[in-house]
Amino acid sequence: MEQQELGHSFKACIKNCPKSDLPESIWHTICIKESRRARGQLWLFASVGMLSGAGLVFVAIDVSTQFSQSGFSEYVSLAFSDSSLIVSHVDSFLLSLADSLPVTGLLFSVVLILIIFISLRKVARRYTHQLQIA
Amino acid sequence: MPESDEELITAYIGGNQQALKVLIDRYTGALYNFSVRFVGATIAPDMVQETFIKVWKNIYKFDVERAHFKTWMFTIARNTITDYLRKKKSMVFSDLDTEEGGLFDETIQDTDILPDEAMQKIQDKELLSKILEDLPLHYQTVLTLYYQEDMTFAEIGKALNKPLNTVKSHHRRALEQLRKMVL
Repeated sequence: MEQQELGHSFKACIKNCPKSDLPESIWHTICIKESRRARGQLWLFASVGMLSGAGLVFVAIDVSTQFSQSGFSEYVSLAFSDSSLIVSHVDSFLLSLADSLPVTGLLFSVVLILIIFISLRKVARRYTHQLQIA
Repeated sequence: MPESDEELITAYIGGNQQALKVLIDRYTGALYNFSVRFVGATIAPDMVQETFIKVWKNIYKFDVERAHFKTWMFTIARNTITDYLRKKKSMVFSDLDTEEGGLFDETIQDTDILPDEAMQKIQDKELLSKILEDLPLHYQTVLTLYYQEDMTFAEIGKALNKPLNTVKSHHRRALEQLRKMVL
């Protein structure tokens, strides 16, 4: 009871009120900072995405060269031409096939593709975010 | 229906920009009222703005399931004010933490510290404002947060980084002083 009455009395005596435009001014400042941050991230992710795209081109060229040099296509065509030979030596065939794969190049490609997708998603999100603020 | 703070934060994280605006509108007055006691009316708006900027920067780290927004926000406000006062080499919150009151204080009940006569006089808001200003700052802070912001002792303790019993002790002693000043 005493607590309730005190609560009412204390609330009634709040006299330290800010200027009425203070919330608006704070919101405006945050919007400016938000916009600046969004723009910075937009550029960052766009740059990362483009660099990854360029890197992917080089990696793709390298991977295709490695494929042609490693004899991977010969192993694959062998699988279609003489399946009985493959069945009898399936272990060694699979090992040779795996050995001929340009693993590092493929791994790089997958990582770069992932980075491009993540960057694209972030760019799209930041762009819509900026539109919302504007 | 008014949305809770936690719902607004979830909405903001989900992409609703206006949710943060609602929180700013809701708490600017409370934060200003809190800050003005420590830094004065000229600096208080800057403290409020700084607090909200920190809230905005860290809102993604805030766990709505584990903490109350109000407590978290007042903790940020307290730290912001402490940083400002430290930079100014003025008093800091720890200077205000006079650890008076031990076990004896903590076991005394807070109820009925103010007799009816004192309660009646406290209804006069001008008188109460004046008396409140004359109270030591750490008492003012506890009373303000408890009665004006409806925070619990535990929440005040977290926000001011003080043990629960110290907050309770400050509250009781503040009421005792209030009674002495009124009667």
